[in-house]
Amino acid sequence: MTFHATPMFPGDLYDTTARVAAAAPVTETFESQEPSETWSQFLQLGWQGVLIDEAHDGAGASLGDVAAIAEAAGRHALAQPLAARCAVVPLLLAGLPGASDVLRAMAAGEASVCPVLDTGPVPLAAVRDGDRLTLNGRLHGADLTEPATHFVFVATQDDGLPLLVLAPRDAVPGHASTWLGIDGRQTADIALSGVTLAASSVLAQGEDVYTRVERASAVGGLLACAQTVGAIGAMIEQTIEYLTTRVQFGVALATFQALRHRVVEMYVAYENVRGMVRRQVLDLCEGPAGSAPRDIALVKLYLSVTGRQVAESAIQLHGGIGMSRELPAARLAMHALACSLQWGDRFAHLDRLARPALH
Amino acid sequence: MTIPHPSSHTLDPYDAFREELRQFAESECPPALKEVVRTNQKVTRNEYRIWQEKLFARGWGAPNWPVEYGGTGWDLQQRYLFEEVTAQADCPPQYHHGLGHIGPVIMHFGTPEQKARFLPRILDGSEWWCQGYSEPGAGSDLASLKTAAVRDGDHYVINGQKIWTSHAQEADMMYTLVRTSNEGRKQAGISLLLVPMDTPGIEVRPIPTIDHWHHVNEVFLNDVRVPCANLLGVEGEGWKCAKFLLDRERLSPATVPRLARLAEQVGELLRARGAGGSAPSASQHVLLERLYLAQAGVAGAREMLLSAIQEEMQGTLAASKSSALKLYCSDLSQQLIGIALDIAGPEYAARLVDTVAATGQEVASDADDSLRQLIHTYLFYRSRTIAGGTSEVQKNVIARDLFGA
Repeated sequence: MTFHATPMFPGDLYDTTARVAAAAPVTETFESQEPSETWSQFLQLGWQGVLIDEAHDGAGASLGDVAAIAEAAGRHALAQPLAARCAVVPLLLAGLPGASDVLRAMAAGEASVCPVLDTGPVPLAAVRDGDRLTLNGRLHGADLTEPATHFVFVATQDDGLPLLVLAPRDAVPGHASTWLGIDGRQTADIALSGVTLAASSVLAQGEDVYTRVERASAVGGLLACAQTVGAIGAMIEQTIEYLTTRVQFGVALATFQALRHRVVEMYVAYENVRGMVRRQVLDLCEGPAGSAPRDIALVKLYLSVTGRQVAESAIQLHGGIGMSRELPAARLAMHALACSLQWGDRFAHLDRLARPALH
Repeated sequence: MTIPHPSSHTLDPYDAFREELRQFAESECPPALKEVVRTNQKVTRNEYRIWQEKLFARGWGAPNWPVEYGGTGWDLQQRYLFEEVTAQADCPPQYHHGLGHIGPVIMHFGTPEQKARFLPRILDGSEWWCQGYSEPGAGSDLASLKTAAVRDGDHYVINGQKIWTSHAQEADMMYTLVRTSNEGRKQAGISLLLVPMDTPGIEVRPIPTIDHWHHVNEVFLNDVRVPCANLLGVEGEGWKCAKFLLDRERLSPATVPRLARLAEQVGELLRARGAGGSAPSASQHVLLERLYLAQAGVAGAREMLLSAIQEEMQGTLAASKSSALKLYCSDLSQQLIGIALDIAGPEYAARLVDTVAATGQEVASDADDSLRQLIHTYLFYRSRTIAGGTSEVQKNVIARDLFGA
């Protein structure tokens, strides 16, 4: 018996996602005008509606179901914005009267909303005047690996009041600049100069905006952890396969104790993070939500460190071929690395945890 | 800075049981005993015995034994809860050599006379055991042991030397592996003997260890005569007994709860250190991150243990998983106590042993002594990745499972 990863949340969602993700081609071109075949399948499957309540035609399912999707996608280093659009946005918009239509359209797979919650260096300024909302600034790091019909973001008024704004894709100008990330994710920085929207684009304001953004981002971070668990499981399988097959000095690499022990360290880390992430997801499904962001920060801090260590081991243990972008294990490593940085990196979460502890 | 206690609801059916345990731990464990545990002092036979007597009186003397031998008959989950509640309340652990190690082996391999003679005294804490396994030439490679026992009438005569024998200085009995034959494989020809420590010819010499605690000893056996009735199982099949023990006690439900308590203590220590200070220093940030990582690690270890308990109860637990848990927990205990060392700092490292107090003239303050004990513990914990199968041996075991060869 050789190692085979056991899913945290086995079931149909895991199996279906894994099947679709396994067949996904690797692309490195910015083609955000048309959804990829893989993404279209996810939209048809209703993955965006998993967390949306039944009143808005969603499945009203639990975070465990989205985590199953994330873990399965993570096994294949899928760069698609699953956490962002299937969990973060539904949580951000849940219960907001102005979001009903877009939630229904998301559940049906007809709309896809890209969240832009990282304010970046230039904050977005908003001025309300009658029924018009005017925006100046920049949408920073919008994940457009797949096309979006809307953006949702935070803009701040002169008086400091934060606004949660939903804008149709067509209402904001084209890309200012586009980027390919370390794991194939594609993002855009979009300059907004005097862009005007209807005042009804403001879905929420004040403290509620911060609360929603904090909670939704925390869940995004937890799903990045679920993706990392999937990626780590697959990295270990592939590393063992490689070491067992590759012959040097007349013997399989798998016979060298130094290499075996490093794989063991990857495995022990895997068992640990798998239990940790699974428990955090279950707790979030069942328990009170009050302390969630803080608990998640602890998990995300740990995964950010561990995910990166395992990724570095997977590359090292593959030797030269570990540097190749064509190698699935190398793509998994890049994926785990990207997950470790997304939704708050190690230090962002350390800051969050340390603030109350030190004051 | 609290340890996340994530999975209380997975143990729901045991809520009433947990409450019963909690009340007992609160009311029955003497405060002086808790103080020893809370301040990280070395637990000796005296503390172990007091606690064992309390547990025995309550009918909880042996959480891991079946009811027919006076045990509680608890399943692994109940045992885990017992460990969690008692660790949280700073009760001492139970002494494991009798209850955990030789007791179950006597139950399985012992004669009716041996069971009647030895088991009740383990249960009530009146007789203390130590383990005579390792030898100067037989550590991880235990089967290379050379201490020999030769039959002479109705006695075995033992000659040789054991090493790293913990608690030998306070034990009444030693279960020991000896060579009764040099034929065949080296695992064959090993027998398990039960040796009263007051038998003439036994000399116990303490080994001065880096932690400055008296824990381990050399045990010299010079023409030690033991009745043949003290042979456990069949002559030449002692390896089977040793293996039985290893296979049976793969999961230690106590490890994670004790780690969780240590993580809390280290958190309190760090808070106390920062209290009253001005702006947080760089060192506090560094220590905090290490603490958070260790706390998250404890939460992960707890999940690993709970799922391993499920698998063990279903009979599906893989060797790689229990070894991974041992490997991880021993590493984590070193990380945590390493943070404590850094918090206590050079002040206490330089003043480990109070030589004035040792002469009875002056005693250091309690707070100082508690920090000093952490340094002892740090040094002692280096053994965590060595004793009970070194981390490198565990890695070999896990690798065999992972690679299928």
